Amino acid sequence: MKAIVLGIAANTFREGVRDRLFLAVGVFAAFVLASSLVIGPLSLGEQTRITEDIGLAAISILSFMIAVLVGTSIVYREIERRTIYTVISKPVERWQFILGKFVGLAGTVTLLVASMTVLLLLIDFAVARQFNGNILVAILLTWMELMLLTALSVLMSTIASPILGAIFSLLLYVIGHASADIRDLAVRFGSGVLRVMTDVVYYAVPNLEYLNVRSKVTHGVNIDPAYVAFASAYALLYAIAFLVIAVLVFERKEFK
Amino acid sequence: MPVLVFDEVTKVFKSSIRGRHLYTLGPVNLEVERGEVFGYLGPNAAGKTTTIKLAMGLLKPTSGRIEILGSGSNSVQARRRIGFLPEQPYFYQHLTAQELLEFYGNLFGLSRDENRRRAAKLLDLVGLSAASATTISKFSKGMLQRVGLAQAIVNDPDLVLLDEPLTGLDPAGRREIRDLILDLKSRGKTVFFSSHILQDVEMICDRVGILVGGKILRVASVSEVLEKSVRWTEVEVTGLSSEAARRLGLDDIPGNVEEKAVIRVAEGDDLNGTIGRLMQEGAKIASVMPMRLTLEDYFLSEIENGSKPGEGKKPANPVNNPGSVPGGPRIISNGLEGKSPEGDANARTDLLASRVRGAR
Amino acid sequence: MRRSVSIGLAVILIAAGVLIYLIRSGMDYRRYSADVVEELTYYPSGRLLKVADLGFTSLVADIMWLRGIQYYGEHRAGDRRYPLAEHIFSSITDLDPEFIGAYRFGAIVLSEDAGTPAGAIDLLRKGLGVNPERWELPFDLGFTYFIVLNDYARAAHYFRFASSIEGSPEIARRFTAFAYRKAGKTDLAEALWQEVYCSSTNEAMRETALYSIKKIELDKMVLALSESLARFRSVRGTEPPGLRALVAAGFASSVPADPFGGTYFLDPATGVVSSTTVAAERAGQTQYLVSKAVKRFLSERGSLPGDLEELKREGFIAEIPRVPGTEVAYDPATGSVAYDLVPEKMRQ
Repeated sequence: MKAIVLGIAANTFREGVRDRLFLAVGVFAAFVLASSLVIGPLSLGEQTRITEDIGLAAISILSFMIAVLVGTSIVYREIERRTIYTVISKPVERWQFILGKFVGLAGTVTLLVASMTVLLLLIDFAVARQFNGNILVAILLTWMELMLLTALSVLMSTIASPILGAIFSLLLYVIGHASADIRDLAVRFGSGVLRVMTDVVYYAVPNLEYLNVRSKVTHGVNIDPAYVAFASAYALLYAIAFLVIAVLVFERKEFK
Repeated sequence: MPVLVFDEVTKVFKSSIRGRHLYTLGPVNLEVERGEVFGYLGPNAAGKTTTIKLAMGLLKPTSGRIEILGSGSNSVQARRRIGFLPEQPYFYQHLTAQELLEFYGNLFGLSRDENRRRAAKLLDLVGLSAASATTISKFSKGMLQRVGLAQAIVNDPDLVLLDEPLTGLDPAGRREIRDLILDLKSRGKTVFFSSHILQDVEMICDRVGILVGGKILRVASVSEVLEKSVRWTEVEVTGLSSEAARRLGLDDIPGNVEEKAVIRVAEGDDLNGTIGRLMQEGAKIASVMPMRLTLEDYFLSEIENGSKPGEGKKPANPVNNPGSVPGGPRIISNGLEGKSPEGDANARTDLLASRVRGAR
Repeated sequence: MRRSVSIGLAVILIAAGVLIYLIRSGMDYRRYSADVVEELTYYPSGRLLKVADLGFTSLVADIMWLRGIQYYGEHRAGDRRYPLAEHIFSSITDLDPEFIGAYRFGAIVLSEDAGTPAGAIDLLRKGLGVNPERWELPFDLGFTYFIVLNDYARAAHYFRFASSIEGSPEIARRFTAFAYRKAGKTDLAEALWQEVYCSSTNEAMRETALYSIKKIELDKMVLALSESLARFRSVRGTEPPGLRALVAAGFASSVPADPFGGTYFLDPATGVVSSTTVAAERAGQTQYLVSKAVKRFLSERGSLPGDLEELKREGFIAEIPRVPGTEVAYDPATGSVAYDLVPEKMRQ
């Protein structure tokens, strides 16, 4: 049974590789290196921090783009092109298909993040002449955020076209990062329908800022391990929820 | 022991927004027996693909019961013994043929080595060994159909469902697929396939089901259908002089029939007698060919007449039954035009026929 | 799919939702008791932001503005310290130099609440540099110099600058005159606050203005009552039993309620006129100060002081402050300090 999920995952992963997604890593490395070298001397001693800031941001953005762009079409494309028929007609449970797709995409994103991280650490070490271990913590939480977004993309893929799915995912990303401001806004509404609506949005949409410790890390702040654990659990729960919904939707799907 | 059962199965399609009724399939009542090759015929958009999707659990029936190898259509485990090839198949473009088959094999839990061996063997069986390392994106349509058939039997299934497996292939390709299907049958498997290429169905199927406009018109064995269809004989002669033709009452066609004439003799008429008389008149018999209505004619006539679905209906009289014209043999062509039974649709007088009869 | 599995999945979904809610509440609590660095990252530097904000400058400035107000509100209700206020408003105006409201509100927070008028001046001058056509900025500068810094010369200079700008209102000229004449400080101050109250659309600023006006009225009343009291003493040669006695004796026309709804009274211990509102406010502040001293005692000595005298003896506080009209109560078991208003101590 696990072989089926892994089989589908491996195939999805291979598709990603052959799609030359990993060119992104090259783009990343070139960009960070260039920025660091160009901006560094202008920054009055802040070159390390700027390198780390840009590097972490680039990892986050590139991976997010790939996760969403690939993820939102991953199931949809299979249905549209009907490659899915020959898979679903084998002794494959519907949930195995969804999980396989997710694992494959998550694996691709993870490999991307890992390679970019290694490059960032190398560049950072070259610039700072020392090792900022906290970068790994920031990356860990960024990775958890990406897993959440990947699960969301897979869910979107089962219910909407890629464009719609990508727009919705992007919207959730923006709202997720503005979560605290929404809370402030909600409090000012006092009570009433508007307050309830804002509260619902606030509690339902994942607060992605929890997973963003990038600025703290580049300011040299140590992150509390308990915080990391809670934030990771938070992201994991959302990912699970999204996948469960995706499975429930996919189970009922009719292939006209 | 039927391997596939449709029991009062219907599928209703509604437009998703307004819930307007679009199309209904059924009620379908059908049983496919073990070891037979069943042909599912119908014009485009009749509902053949829908039927197969229902059997495979890709769609859920609105009502009725489907039983496939003893389990319901949504049974995932039943699919261990089933093979399926969808219509106009599309496969993962980034894989090679070998990788593709290994991917599917993996879904059945085959071991790595066994998987690899089996994939190679199947590619050989469908004639794609040379392309085993080629990526699917470079495959021609014929190659796609063949690799599709290969993936359908990767698990050595008892029942194989093929949706339009012969469409879009050249005659050589169609011949190969037909042979493969017969080979499957010889190994005890049951094959259910849909097609609108009737000659192929005729050639390899044991039984046939006709689906038109979402309704089953007829399910019958091929031989039964063809037996009941009308036969006649076409006699090709040379050296029949016009006077002789006139004497035999066969001067229906203007022009010179001396070089070549084709005479139709209906089933009930005296074939030997006619041949004898021709020879007496000095004509040379070039060939004597028994003919019958093809499945295509039968099918078309069923469509034209078929407003009442169901089994057990006597086939209506084919419209273009030349044999039903009373009287005897008639000349139908002088070899200068092509001969075809449909040519008789133009009403020809049967004066000649009666005269020949009279001359006997 | 089997029903049991469907139900199982639904249960998982609900469980996930509950856990998410719980974690969320826990994390939010932690977030709002923030340390300085965390707060700093929440209000990033305007200059850096401008590089990163990809053309949504105005929007980002708005978001920072909302956060700035939030910051002000939280700390106003809490410790009344605003260390990041300068940074915040400076950043907002870096991002959006034409955001006049940010200069004005920032200046008020810095001069009135945070007690750093120099920062307010800098902010306003920065704004003036970029927006020379806005009369409000030099006007606010005049205001700050006059009210907070008592620098009448500079105040007059800026008021005159403001009146020279086209479109400036009549009061700019009036205040120029006042400043030059150095009219009674409270009158001008009150007039200025009234102007702020009438012209501003910023709720927080209006509240501050109203509060200031009331405060001034209260002070004026206290002053008037004190003068009546002094006359009574010099004529009658005794202490009046209460403030109402002043009215009865004809030394004061009436004793109204104070502008905040409290009552004026005479503190028998010091012979000073005060009001319940003032007493309550001072009580709150004093209570806070003394409580902090108690906490310091606890953290250094490991136990609570037996009474407030011990606190004073051990040098944790110079004096136990007295607030007219109140009595201080200390509970050695819990360490709580309370300054309660006691009517017996008020002669009305």
